[in-house]
This record gives sequence, C-alpha cells and structure tokens, in this order.
Amino acid sequence: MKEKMSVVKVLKSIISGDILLVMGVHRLFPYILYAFILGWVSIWMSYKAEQTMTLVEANKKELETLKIHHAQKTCEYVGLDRISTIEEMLTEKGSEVRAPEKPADIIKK
Amino acid sequence: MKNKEDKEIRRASNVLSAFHVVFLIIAIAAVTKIVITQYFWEPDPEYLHYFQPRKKKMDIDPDRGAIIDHNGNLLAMSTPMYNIYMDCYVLKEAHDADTRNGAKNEEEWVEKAKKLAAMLPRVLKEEGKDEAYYSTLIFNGRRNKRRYVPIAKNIDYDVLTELKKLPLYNEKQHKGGLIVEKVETRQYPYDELARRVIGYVKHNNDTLSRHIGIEGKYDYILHGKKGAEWKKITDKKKMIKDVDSSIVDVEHGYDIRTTLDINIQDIADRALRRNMSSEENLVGGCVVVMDVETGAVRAMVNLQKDKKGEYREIFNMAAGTPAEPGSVFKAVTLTTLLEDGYVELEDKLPTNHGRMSDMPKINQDTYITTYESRNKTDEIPVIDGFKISSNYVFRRLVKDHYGENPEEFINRLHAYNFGEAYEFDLTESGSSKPRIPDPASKGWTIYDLVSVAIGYSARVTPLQVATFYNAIANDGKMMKPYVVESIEHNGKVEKQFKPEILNGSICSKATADTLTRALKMVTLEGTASKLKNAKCVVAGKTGTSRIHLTAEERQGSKDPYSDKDGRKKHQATFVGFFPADEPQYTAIVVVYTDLISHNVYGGSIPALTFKEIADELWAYSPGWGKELKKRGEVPQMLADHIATSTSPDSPVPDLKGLGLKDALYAIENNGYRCSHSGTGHVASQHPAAGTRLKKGETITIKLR
Repeated sequence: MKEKMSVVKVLKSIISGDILLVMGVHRLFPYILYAFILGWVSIWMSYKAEQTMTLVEANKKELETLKIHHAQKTCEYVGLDRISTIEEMLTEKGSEVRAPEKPADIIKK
Repeated sequence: MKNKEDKEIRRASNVLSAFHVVFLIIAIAAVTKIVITQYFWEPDPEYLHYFQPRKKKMDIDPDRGAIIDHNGNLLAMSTPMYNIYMDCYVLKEAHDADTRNGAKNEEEWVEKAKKLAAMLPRVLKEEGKDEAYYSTLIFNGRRNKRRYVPIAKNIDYDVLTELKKLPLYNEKQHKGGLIVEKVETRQYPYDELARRVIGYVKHNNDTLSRHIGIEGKYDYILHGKKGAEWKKITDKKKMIKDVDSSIVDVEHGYDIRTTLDINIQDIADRALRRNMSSEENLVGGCVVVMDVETGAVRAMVNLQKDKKGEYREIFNMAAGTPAEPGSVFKAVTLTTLLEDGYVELEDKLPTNHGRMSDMPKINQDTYITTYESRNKTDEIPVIDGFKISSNYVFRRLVKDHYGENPEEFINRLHAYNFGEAYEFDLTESGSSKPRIPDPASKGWTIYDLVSVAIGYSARVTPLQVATFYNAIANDGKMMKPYVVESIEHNGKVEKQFKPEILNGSICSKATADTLTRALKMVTLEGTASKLKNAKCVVAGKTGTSRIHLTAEERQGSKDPYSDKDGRKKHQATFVGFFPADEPQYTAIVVVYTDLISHNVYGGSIPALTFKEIADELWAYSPGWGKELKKRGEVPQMLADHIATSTSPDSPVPDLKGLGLKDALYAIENNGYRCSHSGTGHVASQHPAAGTRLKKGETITIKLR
C-alpha cells in the first residue's frame, strides 16, 4: 500500500512538475552543473581536436609535397655528381679544370 | 481581495501545469522515438551509408628502400612523380544548360583552352608534341565528352608548379579540369650505370619487370610492409585521421649499401665503351674491379650490343657467362706448378719447334718458332713461355708433371673454386654452370689435361678468374666477391655483411710473390706491353680464346670453333692487379666478338681498357700521392677571403693567397676566363680586385 502510494506520489509530482524537488535533486545542483560543464568542455575539446587534426593533415600534405620535391631534386642532383658528367659540363663551359693526371701530393705534417 | 489573488495564482498554476504536461508529453514522445530508432528501426539499405559514420580505410604504401654505393651515393631511390590528366568536358553541360550566359562562358573557356594548348609545349617539353597536338587533344576531348584525357606522365614537382600557373589549370578542378595523380616511381640517378647489378623495377609493387640484380634478389628487404589507417570526414568535409580506430603501422623498406663505388663504375664503364667503339665486330664486354683485401666488388660493367647496335646493360656476363678463358688460365697452371714445386720461373725446357712430339694431334706453337728465331736458341725459360703466352710450354709442363696423375692437377683447380658456382649476390638465373673436366669421367683423355692447362675444356666466369687473380694479389688468400655491404634503416646498420674467405691459402706467399713477378713481366715485356706505360705498375695476363659455336653458327663446319667460312668468335681478356707491389685493386676486362675473320687479342682492347681504368684510379687516389716535406707555412685561407659571388655584375674578385682550384672557381663563377702560370698560391693578379670587366674576359694570375 505504501509502495503504491509512493508511485502515485511520484506520478503526481511528475505531473505537478516538482519531481526533482521531491527527489531532492536541488542538493546535487553543483554536481549537475559540473557534469554539464564537463560535457560542454568535452564537446568543445573534440571540436578543437578536430580542427587541429585538420591542420595536421593539411601540414602533412604540405610536408609530403616538400618531401617529393626534395626527393626529385636529390635524384636530379645526384645524377650530376658523376665524373663523366662533371667533365662534360666543364668542357662545355670552357673551363680549364680537368681530371687529375696524378694523385694529389701529400704534405707531410 | 485575498480570494482574487488566490484565484489568479491558481490560474497561473494551472497554465504552467498545462505547459508542463505538454512538454512532458513531447519529452516522452521524443524518448520513445529515440528508443525505437535506436533499437527497432532499420533504414532503407539505399540510404544506410548516410546514417553510418563517414569513415574510410586508407592503405599506406611503404617507401621502397634505397640502394646506395659504398660511399653513400644514391644508386636507386623511390620518388613520387605526377601524371596529368584533363577533364576536357568540364563545365560544358553547365554552359549548354545556361541559356543566358552559357555561350559567353563557353567562349571564354575555349579562349583559355587555346592559350593553354599554346603554352603546354613550352612547359612539358615533350618531343613531337606542339600546340596543334595539345589543341586537338583538348578540343576533341571536349567534343567527345572525355573527362580523363592523359596530358603528361611522370612529371616532377617543378613542372607541376609551372603547369598550375597556366590558364584553366590555375583554376579549381571543377572549372579548369586539371587532374593530378601522384605515382610512385623508381629512379636511377645514374641511368644505365651498373644497371645489371642494381637491377630495375618501375615501382615498389612492380611485378611485371623481370626481377634482376639487387632490386630482384633483395626485393623482400627493399619492399617493406603495407600499413593501414582509418580516416574520417569532419563536418567541414575535411579528411582527418580517426584516432579511435585501429592502425596498422607501415614498415618502410630497408636501404641496401653496396660495395660498388660509383666513381670507379663510371671510370670502368667509360673506358670499356670508349675502347669497344674502336672495333665494330664486338658484341659485348664486361669489367669487374675488386678490392684486393676484402673481395668487395667496386665496379661491375656488363655491356651488350642491342638490336640498334648500342651498348646497354642487358646481361650480367661477368657473373653469368662461363666460357673457356684461354691464356689467362696459364697463371692458374703456373701457380699449381710452382706450389707443387715442379718448376721455377728460370727453369728451361727444350723448345722443340713448338711441337708436342708425343701428342701429334696438337698444332705447332708458332710463338715458339718466332722465339727460337729471335733468340737463336732451342731452350725457353718458363718465365719467357709465360711472357709470350706459349701454349706449348704449358702443355709440355702439365703433361710432364701431371700426365700420370691428372687428378692432382684437377683437384687443385677445385681448390681454387673453379669447379662450382659459389653463391654470389647476383647470379643470373638461366646462366650455365662453370665446369672443370673430370679425369674419372668416361670421355677423359690426356688431351683434356693439356687443354685445361692453357684455358680450354674448362668453363669459368670472368668473376671466377678475377677472384683467382685477386687471391694472388692477396698473398694466396682467396676472398669471396660480394656486392652487398650492409642493410640499413634510417642510417643505422641493421645487418653487416663481412668479407668471406673462400680459401685461406690457395698457395704460399712465396708462390704468390713469384707469380706476381711473372705477371709484372707480362706487362713490362710480354703480351700486355700496352700496359708498360701505365701510371702505376700493373701485374696481369692477357688471354684470347675462341668461343664454342652452336650448330647453327657453325653452318655445317666440323670445327666447333669456326663456321664454314673459317670465321671465329673470340673472347679477349686482360686480368691483373695494381699497383703490382702493393695491390689495392684487381680487375678483369673481357670483350666478346661476333663471327670474324681476324683476331681480337687480350693485349689490345682489354689491355687498353685496363690501362685507362688503372691510370684514372691511380690519379684519383690521394693515398698514392707523393709525400712532400713541409718546408714553410701554408697561408691560412679565411672564408671571407674566398670570393664566391656568382652575380653577373660582380667585379674582379680578390684572388691573392688562393690555391689554383679556388682561384679558378672564383674566376669562372664570376663569368671570367682564367690564364695562369706557376704553382702554389696566387701571388699577383691582373686586373686588380674590384676592377669591372666584361664577362668572358681573361684574368691573369701568377702562382708562387
């Protein structure tokens, strides 16, 4: 009977709109507020994280492009670093620098 | 009054209760809807993907490891390039549908496309593709509604940047139609150089190219393992990494450091090409340069004539073409005779007019008859027989000392590792195996023994011959040739391949020294006299052998070495080491001829090629330089004293105190020419520093 009464009481308090007061939730208000702020901060942080990740992805793409450029340039310049290519280029430029005809002299310390 | 107030309060309370009930009903309905949607409702499969998180699994391809030379120069590396396509039909439908501005917009687009077609040849610089070509390509594509027309392949970043500045391509893809696709490519900065050793793949997942060389054999190390990560799309339609999903880390391929020295490879390649060009009947040639102490292969050139008549790296002849080596094998015979104590270099044997009286089938050795008439003698010392590369002398010696016990001689050859193909990093698939005749076999005759003594009846690769000569240079210690030095990851050595010994002592140091003396005599007074004037003393041996012809090549001839017209194929070899007294490198040069009526000898093209290689290596090695005693102070050159400006308006630089190399650098970089005299450092210059000259004029410097 007592239980039935409390169910009725709860229903009544729901309808009358004072269920939270009946439950004494007002005592927990600071915690509810805290949980709300936490929720809000969590959403805000994930939004900011997403923004940062977008930036990271954009930077990654940029880095990738620079890496590609670097690799292509490395390949191009490595190809030039060849004795016969250097000699050809020097001849083309009219330089007097030629391949050595004898090993370099060593100055004794 | 009070009743009136109570009434109003009750009314307000009722209104609020009514609102409360309404909101309560809405809340219950909303919660019910959420529960139903969450647990009981299923969307139409067609729209299902709209209700699921927007995620995408992305495979991450590993970077293929690089192949580098002994000094860290890149021989093969993976580089992404770009393929360019064009959506030629872009905006066409929109223009057609727009009755108001469509025609005008279409006209503008066409104008831009015309400008683009005119500018593309200048940027892409592709042979045979002019303005008309690109114009046809674009406008045909637009007419035929083509949205993926290939414009260019494998362009680099610089060209892409230029392309993006062109009309239409400087607009967004949905307006200009530019489609850029990144493609992984394998780049070989030195082109064909050492191609057969390095190998070739188009990209990391290339399964079509024949897997050869290091690229093929070490593919499992170079390739790496694929990774995967999930990406999600943000509310702003950006793709970001989904950190909540599982990630498979990509494992990039490891780098391989080879023993090759690209400078030595370049020198050897150039020398072989240059010398082979002097004889049009050659079909190929190879060079191997080895480090004496370790057996590390510093260069391996394999040039074969293609259908167009150009020499290209087609097959690894050095490691994969066993053939009868000819007279270079006489050093092997001599080593065996010396080591077994049967002869000494000064021992003499009767010349007998070059005839083996007990073996009448063997032809007379004409080198001996020439020797007899030149020296007015009927005896020949072993060393002279070696110098003139007499077949008679070596047949005679082997017949006399091993005729009764041929196994003793043949077993020696096996001890030198001639009988089998030892595991080499780059053994060519499909190549035949080396072979030494077996005295226990059915067909064995004494003729086989004397034939082996002069380099016939045995099939060995040029690499095996070089390995033997390397052992002589290394005081009898035979090192296994190898081309892979280490496996590295991010610059850290993960696995080091150390030099391996094939045979700790194929002969005593005394025998090795005696043979070195004999080999020096060959280059100073014998068949390799072209090496007499080499910049450092070379010890080596020439060899010329005929190549066994196929039945088709013989055209009915009974002689296995010549066709019906008497034409033969030759293999001409020079093998040796230098500097003879303190050997650092062993090298072998072999050239192969087509069917020809004349001879190509080991003392000609191979010896000249060897000389060029030895001379250049000697000149480039500072360790072999003359030591100068310090007599005075070398002026300290400070960085601010060295003029390095490359500006076209820069005046004459201050050159005083600079060495010739730095002075030339400064002068030529500033666009002037140089005339110099003397040695040492620049003591005076004309005109003076700071003077303004016309570019191309000469600055005279005196060094002291």
